[in-house]
Amino acid sequence: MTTDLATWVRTQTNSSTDEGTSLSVVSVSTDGDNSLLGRLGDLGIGPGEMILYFGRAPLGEPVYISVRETVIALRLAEASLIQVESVG
Amino acid sequence: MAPLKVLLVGSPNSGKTTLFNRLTGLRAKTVNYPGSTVDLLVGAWGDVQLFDTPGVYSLHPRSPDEAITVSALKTKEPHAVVAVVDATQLSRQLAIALQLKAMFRSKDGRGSSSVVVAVTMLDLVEQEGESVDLEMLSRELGLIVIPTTSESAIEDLRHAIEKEKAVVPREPTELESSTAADLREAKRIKDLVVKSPMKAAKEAYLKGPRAITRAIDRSVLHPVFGPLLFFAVMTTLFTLIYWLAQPMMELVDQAFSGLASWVTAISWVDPENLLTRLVSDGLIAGAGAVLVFVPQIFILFCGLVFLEDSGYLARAATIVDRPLKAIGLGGRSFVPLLSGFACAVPAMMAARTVNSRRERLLTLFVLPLMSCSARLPVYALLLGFVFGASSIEAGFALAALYVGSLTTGVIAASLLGRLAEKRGFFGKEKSFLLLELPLYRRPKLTLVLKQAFLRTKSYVQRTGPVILTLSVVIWAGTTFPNYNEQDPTVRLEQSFAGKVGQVLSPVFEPMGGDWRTGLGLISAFAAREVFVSTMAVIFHVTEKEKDDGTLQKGLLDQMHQARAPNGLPLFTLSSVLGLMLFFMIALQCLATFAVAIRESGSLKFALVQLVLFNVVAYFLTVALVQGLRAVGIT
Repeated sequence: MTTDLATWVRTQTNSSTDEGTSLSVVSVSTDGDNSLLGRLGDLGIGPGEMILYFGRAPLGEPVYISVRETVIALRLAEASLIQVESVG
Repeated sequence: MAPLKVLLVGSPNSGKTTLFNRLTGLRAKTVNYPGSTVDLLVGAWGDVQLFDTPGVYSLHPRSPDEAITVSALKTKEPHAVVAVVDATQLSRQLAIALQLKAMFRSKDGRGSSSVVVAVTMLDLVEQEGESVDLEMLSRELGLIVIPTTSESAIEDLRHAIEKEKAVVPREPTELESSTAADLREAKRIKDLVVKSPMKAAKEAYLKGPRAITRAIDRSVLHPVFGPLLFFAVMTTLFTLIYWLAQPMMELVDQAFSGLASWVTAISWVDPENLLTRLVSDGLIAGAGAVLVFVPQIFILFCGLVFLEDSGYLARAATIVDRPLKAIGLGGRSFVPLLSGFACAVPAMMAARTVNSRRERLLTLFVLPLMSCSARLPVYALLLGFVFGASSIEAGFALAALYVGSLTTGVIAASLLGRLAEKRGFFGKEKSFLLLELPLYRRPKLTLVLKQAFLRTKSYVQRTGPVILTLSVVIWAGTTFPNYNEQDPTVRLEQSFAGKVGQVLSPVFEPMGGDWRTGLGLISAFAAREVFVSTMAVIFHVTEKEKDDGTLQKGLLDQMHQARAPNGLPLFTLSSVLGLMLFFMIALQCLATFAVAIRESGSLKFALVQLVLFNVVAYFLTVALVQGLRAVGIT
């Protein structure tokens, strides 16, 4: 099922596994700030890319994911631009 | 022979700055890149002039810092470029090396490309039980690849640069490929060159740096333990810049006043001579005003660089991001704002770690509202006036002043943040957070000290002259024209500053003061605590009382007796509360002004800040004083 990452994160309980949860990027919204979208792309967040979800900061935001060997923190607003689907 | 110009380019956290420091030792200096606030580090490495550039995620710039790197590539005419690539993130960072190669390819598509790849952190990859086939990497990239972890790395790198350097600096070409395509190619190459022997891999991975970082993060980002650790770390940092720096700052202060009195005490020097006074009260005091901040800046940057290099600062930013986001700032603004409670000067310099330009400018703008330590002597005097010897009530009132300062800061940031977004004051860029969390690493002490030293040096060189000049101007303003007058009170009264105070007297009256209060406020621009000593001069507090250490008591007695021209007491509850409010908000600090010019890169920014803070402080004070008087509190 395809959802945006922010919605997906909200359905998760706070406990995260050590390994992270695998997700596949379906698409990235084009409706956003150009430098933000560009930066998402530079980090490798694009269609077909695998990302790992690790959890959220103590106050619920930002969320921690890893993509292309890099762990990054992003706010829910940024996460909502990324469409993902769970991997089996 | 002209030196070889070489640029170091790489992703943030790629180990670029560490490599730069290894190559250049201590012989580095910061240069301001034209039209920006960003420092480029330049170091000499033999006959090579080596430039460190701001970290980039691609050569299609997304931020002002990235634009500087790209612009440096295009305008500095480098003989060679070193692409610094972190071996633990090849699938992302190789894309930058590919883009550099494309940018510096020769026109006919053949020949050397003047790009050399330096691969860092290979030891970390090996600890994970993996290996990188550097020969294959070199073949796939079509570039020379040097591992920085090898013993002979520095010589190898130099040979590679010698071999690859363009005879004439190469003209960069525009990039044709998209980052997405470069990232695909990077991934392909990474999958080819990184080998993980199946057997050992799993076990090694569990003990490797990535697994260790994950394990540490489980505690550092833990819902309960994370915030506790954050609180402990920030308290330690603040303690260091507040209490550790304090005695050193006093030492600097004493050294300079000692030097000043030594000059006037030289037998063949006439202490009343104007030149002597220029040197002792103007220049030496001014130099003291510059250097007094050095201990704080040095200590703060030691702490900051340590936290940054260890990998903790990025985590800390994610922990406080949410509340700061609510007022238009971000997690990275926390340390500068906290430092602002010690002193706005180092705090503004610390705002360089705020990645987003908009958040950086907003942080710089509201920083002077944080109640710095220079306000304490003023608060102590005014609270002493209101509460007499009762220290408990004064303590509560002081706490209230701090809460007030934080509240005004929050209000100012949210108002201004919204206004700035609507009007695009601080750039069109929307506020967002995409923060990389690097692997935890043990910071190298020498590198921490070196970075702190370079920052401090840059402050003294760049901001020092402005503060020195402004200090001399204030000195001249309070000395001339009747510089021969023996009585300091009369001299001050008749000085330009005194005249300005008298002319502006009608301005100070609504805030419950007269020209004497005004003169105190004007002189406080040299530094807020100067308000106290100026008041002492205006109200004839004698040298004897100064020496007895009863200056405050003597001054308080005088303040209680002081009468306004209409015969009523000059200092009343309402006027003193007004002064406290004024000091809480007003930007009376030339050093802050000078640093704001430099850190914002805009004189206009600093001027708007200076005028706005003082005008707002003035009107709020008038409103408070008149309001209190209207309800019968004089």
